[in-house]
Amino acid sequence: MKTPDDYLWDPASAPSKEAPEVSELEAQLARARWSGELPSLDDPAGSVTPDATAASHPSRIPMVGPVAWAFLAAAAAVITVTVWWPSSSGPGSGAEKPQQLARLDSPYTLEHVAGQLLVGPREASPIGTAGNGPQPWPAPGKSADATLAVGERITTGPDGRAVLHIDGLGTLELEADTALAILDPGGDGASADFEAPAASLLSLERGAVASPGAFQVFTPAGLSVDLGCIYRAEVTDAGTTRLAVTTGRVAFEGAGRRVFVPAGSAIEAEPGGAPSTPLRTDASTKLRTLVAQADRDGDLDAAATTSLLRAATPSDAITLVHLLHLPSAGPELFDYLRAIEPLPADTTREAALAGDPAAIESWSWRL
Amino acid sequence: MSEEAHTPGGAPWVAQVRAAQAGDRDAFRELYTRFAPMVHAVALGSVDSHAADDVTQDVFLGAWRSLADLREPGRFGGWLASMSKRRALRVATHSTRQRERTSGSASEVEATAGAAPLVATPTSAPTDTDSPTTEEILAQLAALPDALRLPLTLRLVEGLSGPEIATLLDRPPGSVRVNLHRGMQQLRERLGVATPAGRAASTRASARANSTTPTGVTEPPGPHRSQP
Repeated sequence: MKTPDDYLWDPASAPSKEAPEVSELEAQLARARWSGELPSLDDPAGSVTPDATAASHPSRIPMVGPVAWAFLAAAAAVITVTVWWPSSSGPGSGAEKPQQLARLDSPYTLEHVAGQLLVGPREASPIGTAGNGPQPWPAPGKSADATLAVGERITTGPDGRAVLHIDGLGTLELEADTALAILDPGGDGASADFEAPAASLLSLERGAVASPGAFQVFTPAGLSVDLGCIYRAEVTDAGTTRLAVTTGRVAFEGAGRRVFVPAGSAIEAEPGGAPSTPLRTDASTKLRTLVAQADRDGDLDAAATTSLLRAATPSDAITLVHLLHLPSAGPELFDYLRAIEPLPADTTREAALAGDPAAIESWSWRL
Repeated sequence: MSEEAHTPGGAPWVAQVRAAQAGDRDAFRELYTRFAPMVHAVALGSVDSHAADDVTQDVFLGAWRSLADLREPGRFGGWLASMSKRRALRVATHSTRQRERTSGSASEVEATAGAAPLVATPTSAPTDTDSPTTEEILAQLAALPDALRLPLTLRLVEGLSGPEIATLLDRPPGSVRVNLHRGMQQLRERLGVATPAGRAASTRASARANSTTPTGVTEPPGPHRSQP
């Protein structure tokens, strides 16, 4: 039986009379169709823009399933930053060089939106102290769009708000009572804890930021990697990290567990502890309770697993895929998930049930 | 592009990628023919069609230069897609910041207009009084969720069939078909075009009204606007 969407699937078939707009849109949009020729390959070096060249070094990252698509973006971004920095003050040398040198071509620009805003060297300005480090921003004699350098900390007051722009990566909005430090992307930290090198490495020490850019942000509880999205991260005075994603997805890793948080979901992580299993913000109380039990106990018995699957809906699949590693519940969850979306070709049942991050991410992209 | 079955774990272009890595330019040209529409479609998610053309060229030149670094030839498509997305975002961000910094300078704005980032909301959909331009439709297309945008762009802009899209994106055909359907539904909503079901219902209602009140004024069957 023919349906109005048949032509959408197979343009060789006759356009549907019930959906004429498909062929009409197709005819109009064909004007924007790609029709270029492959340029000469003889001397590509002279034709490629620096960032396009720098963006193509996937060998630094294991290409594991769809995860690689997003991680490649982060990998390229850090290289882009490297390209833009002067050689005398590139990644790894920020601590030894005078801040003024590092500022020259820094990709970090701070926009003062409202209220109190202080900036100063991270080492010289412990959070919560005025000391001799942080100075009001913009400091006397500096323009409002002056750049920041690696090693500096931005602190907003109770009424303060600011926006950190990072060339080529995006922006990061700092809410009130927030302390955010700019770390050296080439230094210790991200690359040691995560497969992807840091795009632009930041440390959220207190407060909250909303990020629509490709950043890696340390919090006291772990590392969040923006995989092309908009999200809000909050760090409480106790160091608890709460992360909620509006669009796209974020990877968060702490204490050896990596979770992938898609749009409409959130996690929480305590310092030293693993991040919670991602839950949709509108997940049922029953589901939340059972997931919290699984996170706490490291497994669910048969009755709890049955309750979990009854409480879950297909849109909770992202939660369930993060529970596949549970020794008792995993196999039942696997069958449930497989009925929603077949296991990706690049992973195996064994890898999924072992909670392999690559397998979990690969499947989660399809759920 | 020939139609190929979904080949999980064994992309049909692996041999071409390996040959290109060994310096075979003809193999790389074949890859270009296969993947250029996808690279272009990915770029269209962030920049307009003129800038997307430039991004596509840049991506392939960069790919040729660094192809030896690609360890898994089966991931060639994903590799290109990530390069295209990064490059397009970079172009969009750069042009936005340039416009912000040079606001008031008409020449600068004009110079970067081609790389304008695409921003569209349902409220910015074209009105019924005029037909949307190609760029307006592209902007609405670009505003769709990622999972829906790329297959629908490949279908409507690049002219690929559903099976071809499934092969290119290494996705199950059923999944692509669902995403094409959902993407088309959302695009209709954004453009103010009635769904086929809505038009059918409207037509039935109109017919009923005509049969009961033959002298009444009848409404056209739905808000569908014909394109030239």
